[in-house]
Amino acid sequence: MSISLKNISKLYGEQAVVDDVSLEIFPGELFVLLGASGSGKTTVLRMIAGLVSPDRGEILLQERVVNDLTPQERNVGFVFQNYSLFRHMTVAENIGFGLQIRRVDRKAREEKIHHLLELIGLPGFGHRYPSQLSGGQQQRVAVARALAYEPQVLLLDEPFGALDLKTRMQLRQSLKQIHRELGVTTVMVTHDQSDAFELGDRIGIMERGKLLATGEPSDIYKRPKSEYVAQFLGAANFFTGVMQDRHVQIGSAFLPLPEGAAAPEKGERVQVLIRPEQFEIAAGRESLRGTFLGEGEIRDCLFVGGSHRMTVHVPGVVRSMAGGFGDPDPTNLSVLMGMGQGPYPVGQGEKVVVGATSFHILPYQGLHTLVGIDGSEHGEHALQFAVYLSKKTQGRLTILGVAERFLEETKAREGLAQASQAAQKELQEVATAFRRGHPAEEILNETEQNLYDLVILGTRGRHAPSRFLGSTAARVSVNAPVPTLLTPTPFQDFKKILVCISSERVRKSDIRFVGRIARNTGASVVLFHVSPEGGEKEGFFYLQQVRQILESLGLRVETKIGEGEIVGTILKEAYEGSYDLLVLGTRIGNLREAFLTNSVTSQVLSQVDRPVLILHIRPPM
Amino acid sequence: MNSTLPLTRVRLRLPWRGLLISVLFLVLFPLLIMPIGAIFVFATRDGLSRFIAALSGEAAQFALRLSLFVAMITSFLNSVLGTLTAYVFANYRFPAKRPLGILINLPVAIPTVVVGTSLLLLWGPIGLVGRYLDPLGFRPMFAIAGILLAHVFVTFPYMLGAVKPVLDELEVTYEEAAYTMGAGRLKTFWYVILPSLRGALFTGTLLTFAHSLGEFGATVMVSGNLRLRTQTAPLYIFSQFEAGNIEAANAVAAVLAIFSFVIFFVLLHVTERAQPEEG
Repeated sequence: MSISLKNISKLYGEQAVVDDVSLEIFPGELFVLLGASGSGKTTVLRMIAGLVSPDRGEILLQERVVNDLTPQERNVGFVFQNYSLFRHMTVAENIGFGLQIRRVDRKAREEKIHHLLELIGLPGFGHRYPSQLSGGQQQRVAVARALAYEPQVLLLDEPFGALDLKTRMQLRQSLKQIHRELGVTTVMVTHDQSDAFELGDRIGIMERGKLLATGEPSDIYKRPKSEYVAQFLGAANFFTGVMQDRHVQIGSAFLPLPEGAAAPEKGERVQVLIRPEQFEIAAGRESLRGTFLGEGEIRDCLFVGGSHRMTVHVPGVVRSMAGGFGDPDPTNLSVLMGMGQGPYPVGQGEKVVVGATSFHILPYQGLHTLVGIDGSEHGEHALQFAVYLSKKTQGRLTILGVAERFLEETKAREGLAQASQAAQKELQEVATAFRRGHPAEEILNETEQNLYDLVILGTRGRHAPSRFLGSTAARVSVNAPVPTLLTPTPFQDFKKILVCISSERVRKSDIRFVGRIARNTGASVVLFHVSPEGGEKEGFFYLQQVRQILESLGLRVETKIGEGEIVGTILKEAYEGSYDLLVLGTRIGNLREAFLTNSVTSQVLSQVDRPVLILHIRPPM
Repeated sequence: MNSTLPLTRVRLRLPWRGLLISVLFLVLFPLLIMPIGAIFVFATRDGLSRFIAALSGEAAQFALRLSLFVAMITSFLNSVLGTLTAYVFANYRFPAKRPLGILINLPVAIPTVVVGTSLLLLWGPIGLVGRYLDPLGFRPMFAIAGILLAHVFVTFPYMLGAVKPVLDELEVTYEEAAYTMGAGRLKTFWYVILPSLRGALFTGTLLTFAHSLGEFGATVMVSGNLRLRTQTAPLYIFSQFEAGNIEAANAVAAVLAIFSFVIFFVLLHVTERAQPEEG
């Protein structure tokens, strides 16, 4: 039986948990809805079953609108995440329940139960109680129970959620077999991509209530339409490339477009996706089968059974964002080599050449900025900075509103709608997000669950007692996975940026990020190092490294050395040089060290009235 | 936490241990154990035949039967009322749900004599409602109906306390599973919810039964303590004791005590058996 969803939405309050989803599921198909928790996938499933009714749109089963039918009338089988087997009934009674309700006579019922118990591989288990079964067995019984009355549609909600890996794999096989045997149209919801790949005839990917993509698993994996989809389905290396006729240029490498692929215009920026297994490692250039990317060195190599998972450092080839196997260093590529590919170097530190056998092109996307607003004028200022930066970097902006208490929710949402309207006048891609809870925590959750490049928050700056700053802004800037821009002042263009360098290192990707901002806003950069009296060589050396990175991005960089007490010297330079942005480092994750004690960052922050961009200092090894 | 401290409590030295255990026994013995023993000692002091004779008196028989009858009806009424209340509270949102939730547990805190008084002031011949019923010949007070009203009121929280946690714990998907399989609300309740409440209903019934059997304060107010008409067993004991018939009082008291023991041990057995099943 076919299922079709036409523009269905479900609102809880004003938040759309399912947002205008349209989907066609064909008769006999096994369709997998894949998404992170809170993406709305379970709500879609519950709407098909009639347990939740949509606020907008139509649900059709076999071309008939069923919006007004109760769950009882829809004749669907539903397997719940917790199975919900009736504890006071035996396995046989559980399976026979739907038949008993349909007044099927005892003999036919027993035959059916017997048949189903065999189908799920538990013959002779009929007299047991659910509490006497293992999790995997309970799950099978739940499937049998949902199939007993021959429903037209089988719906499964995270059916393998609570099971160990081995059981999961067995149950996947068993479900696949049952589906093949019965041919019932099946929709399954899961957060696990291997469920989706192994089981789905087709899969759909959901995020924040929206259905982002549908298609055959291999197609979505190889040719995703967005970076979110690409990342959700597995490790991904992204690069920013520039089109050169039929080639894409990444750094110094040129990758030829495959035959027949549509070529964006020359000079246009694109995002290039290379999956770890699309890379190729060899000892010499002549043994590469694909296109040469660069020369590098194996940093790390892990045997993962039948293949090697490697981190390869290639100086000229820089990823545009974190990803891959989770390595934040963008000059490290995530590579997966299968042992069937013939001999390849595996030794740590070995010099290798890296090539790409294939790749995929996505439209280029600029900076993705998250700005938190709270209805105050400080939030207003932060928003202005955010709009400015998004505009300059051709990026996307997400505005986040957080309400701590239920009563504040309406007001916060109104503010969010206004802010979004204002931003949309200047920007094309503006999204809003709303969360309820503690502001700092919710901002951090947001940055962890979605890909952002920058977080912007308004603060009260130097008029605030340092304890106040210690709340939201401090926690976010110390714990967020990306740089944080704190804006205590009304908006002003960035013309001059002061980057304060101590001897402690920040991530190179963060330095590049500063370079990107400088380049896009046209600001000039001054690198500033304060050495305590007596001088310190190491800091000066690091200053030169940072300078090189920034200059490699085509920026003009001035360096200055100050001497004396650090905080005072930085503040003095900031005022005298009339800078529009200060860049400081702080230790990752250590709130106490960064803010509660009188660290340089916290002292500067509490006294300065300029926007401050906070980068992360790498924890000492 | 200071990790140098051992986690186990330092064991007291022997003289202390012996002393504290002795004090415990010295306190508990006259406080709990001896009074219960006294009933049986007095009841059987003059031999079993006197005991049986004291029990077979007309008033004693009536009082015991009335108490059992009232306890049974009260248990039944409250199992229906308690389940309904718990179901509504677990499934629906309605105005004043929170204050009502607090209110329904209030009977535990109100002195039973006050419950009796308030029932009289409501249903009695000159009560708020009773004065209009009286001319119609409907007099709930000083009758068995009045006793039932009082007992249902006083024991209501016991049934609710047994049923509500179990019902609250039942997953929502339990009901939803039944719905998707085609069962309507009634069938779902009958085949799925009610059977899950069996244990709780049994416990609640026993608790209600035991409390109803021993209820005194409210009963004495609303019943009028009319011999062979509204005199329950506890009232009989009190009346006989006051009249100096200690033997008669003791015999019925012993029977009530035995009932309580049986109920108590059944409950103990049930809860002990239920626990490993849960885990």
